[in-house]
Amino acid sequence: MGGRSNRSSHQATEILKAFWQHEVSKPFIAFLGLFIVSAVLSPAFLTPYNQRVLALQTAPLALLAFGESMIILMGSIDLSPGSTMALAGTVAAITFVHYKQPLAIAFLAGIAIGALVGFINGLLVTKAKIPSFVATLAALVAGRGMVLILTGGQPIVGLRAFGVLTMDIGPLPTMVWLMFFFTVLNFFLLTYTRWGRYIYAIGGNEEAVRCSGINADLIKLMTFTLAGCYYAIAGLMMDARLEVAYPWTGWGAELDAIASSVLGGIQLTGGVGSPIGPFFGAYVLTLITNVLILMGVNPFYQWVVKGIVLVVAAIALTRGLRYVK
Amino acid sequence: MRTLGIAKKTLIGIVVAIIIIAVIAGVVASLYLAPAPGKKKLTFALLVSNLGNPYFVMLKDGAEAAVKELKAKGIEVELIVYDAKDDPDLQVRQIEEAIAKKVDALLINPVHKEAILPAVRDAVKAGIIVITTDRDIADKSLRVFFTGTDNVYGAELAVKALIEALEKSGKPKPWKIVILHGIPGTTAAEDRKKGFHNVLDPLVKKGDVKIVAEEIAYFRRDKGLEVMESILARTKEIDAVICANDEMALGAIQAIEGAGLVPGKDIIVVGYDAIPDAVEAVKAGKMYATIAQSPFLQGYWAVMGAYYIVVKGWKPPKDFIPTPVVVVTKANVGTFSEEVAKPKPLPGAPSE
Repeated sequence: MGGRSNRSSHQATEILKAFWQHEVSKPFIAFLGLFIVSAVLSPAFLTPYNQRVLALQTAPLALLAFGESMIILMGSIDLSPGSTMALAGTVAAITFVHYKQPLAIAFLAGIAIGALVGFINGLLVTKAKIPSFVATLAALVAGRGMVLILTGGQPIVGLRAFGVLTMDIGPLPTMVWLMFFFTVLNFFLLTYTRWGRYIYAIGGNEEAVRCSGINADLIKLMTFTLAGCYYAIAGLMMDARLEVAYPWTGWGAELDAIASSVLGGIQLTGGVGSPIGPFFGAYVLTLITNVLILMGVNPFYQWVVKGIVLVVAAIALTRGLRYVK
Repeated sequence: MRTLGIAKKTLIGIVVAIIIIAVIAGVVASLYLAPAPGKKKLTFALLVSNLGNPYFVMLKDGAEAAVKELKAKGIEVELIVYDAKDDPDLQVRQIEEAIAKKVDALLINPVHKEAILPAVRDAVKAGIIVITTDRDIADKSLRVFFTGTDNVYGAELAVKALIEALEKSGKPKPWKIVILHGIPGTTAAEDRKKGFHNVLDPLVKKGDVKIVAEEIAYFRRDKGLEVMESILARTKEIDAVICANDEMALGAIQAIEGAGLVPGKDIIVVGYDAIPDAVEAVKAGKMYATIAQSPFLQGYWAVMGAYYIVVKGWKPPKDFIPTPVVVVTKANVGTFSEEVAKPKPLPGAPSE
């Protein structure tokens, strides 16, 4: 009797240990903790409407965070997500409204532009050897400028048809399903493909990767391009949410994307972190803003509370590390 | 090898010589070809806070219309437009750049009323005329005049329109109202906040109105949407939303529709600025009212004022030249734009 219960409790601790050692455990626990605290603090938090709103608000940010986290995993940084999403959203809207192309073509045009921006970022980093911080800063500034040139500063209206992204399929809107789809895709890509493993390897020890004959430049180029596609999809989602291509979409979103990645357990030094961590990071970031409004906290205090919550979440994430930079 | 070395040296010598000659020629040309004083070309710098906002695009249009009009009169004038993207640091750098370019006047639409003061002081020291447009700066002694909306007055008109709509709707008192504010620290946001409260606070005391939420949405449509979604998650018992600009109001309308409510019927929305999208929303009955300012005239009058001051030594009779304000509702939605978007003579301007 005693032996068996001993063994089962032993098994339980093994499972718990395995979970705790998994990279995604800490972001998940930070997420779960904040979720429970929010539910306790505000009765409105758990309502279906609020959960739906949260999912809708998280979806574009999660896509940005997935792209950003891949770049950070390589030990680089990407400052262009916000501008890229706005540019992709603008180009998709122009293709649809001004050139009267079908919706699918408009979406593809937007994604292609995102890929192009990512590709250029990749070229600047690998061929021109400009540090990613500077290269993508250029993309951040120039991308927003192009949005303003293309739109003339005026939102592009007439995007009702983009509602395919916000309409419900079953219990949830399309874009929320898309977010889940990309969470799974990102997990699969980074965990089970050679490309994904190389991304981690480059962040871990790029010199070793290059010495072993792997074309690290090509991997970087591909990853920046894919990240651009992710940002573009986020841009299409914002178009759908606002039913216009708003030129100021994603202004400042690069910081949210980086924060989501870090809250998701992706280390800024590269090479470490779970592919699905950024999803939890994005959700946590959205949740904090949401619950503070639900509680009616004075907007000025909201900023302070947000800062404190971020620090607490970050403390939880870095337990067990010997040092950080 | 040796001949190659000599060829290389010669080539470098030629290149260096060309560069030196080009630099000297450039300096000489700039000294001798500079326009004679008196017939000098006028240069004005227009520093816009954010060209991503359609409102400021209209301001720029007005300034450009004035430049075109002056050019048609045979006056040589150039307008340099800067976009600060709502970043005070960037605006400071742009002011410094404009000073370096020795412009005749700075027409500033400040991002922040305090942050740019040191740079503006440098401009005044350099003898450059400073005019503020749409938003003023904190130190009023630095600029010759400010042209813009009396935002406190405009915000009072907006809330009065909202109250009028609530009375017409027959909704029971106390009316539950949500307020969305702009970027804290900007004159427009602070003045409109003051205007809203000037009218609402006495009504709150009387028990006619209850303010259920007061949030900041940074003058942005996407933030308006997200903030309003969260407010609606807290309570759907809301009678009206008043916003410090149209972008936030349009975001709020999007959120209201997303929550399955009807904007204009279940929740009455009032915006501010009368941007094209908002005018469409008023036509469609989704927005009850918006306040039309005259960004066009703010740009137009700033350029005209600068011209009169620099060329004719004009002294404006007052240092605040308010531009017209119109409440836009379904009743006048077709005609208001003519009232505010065409050139009008600058009040107190010298005769030609």
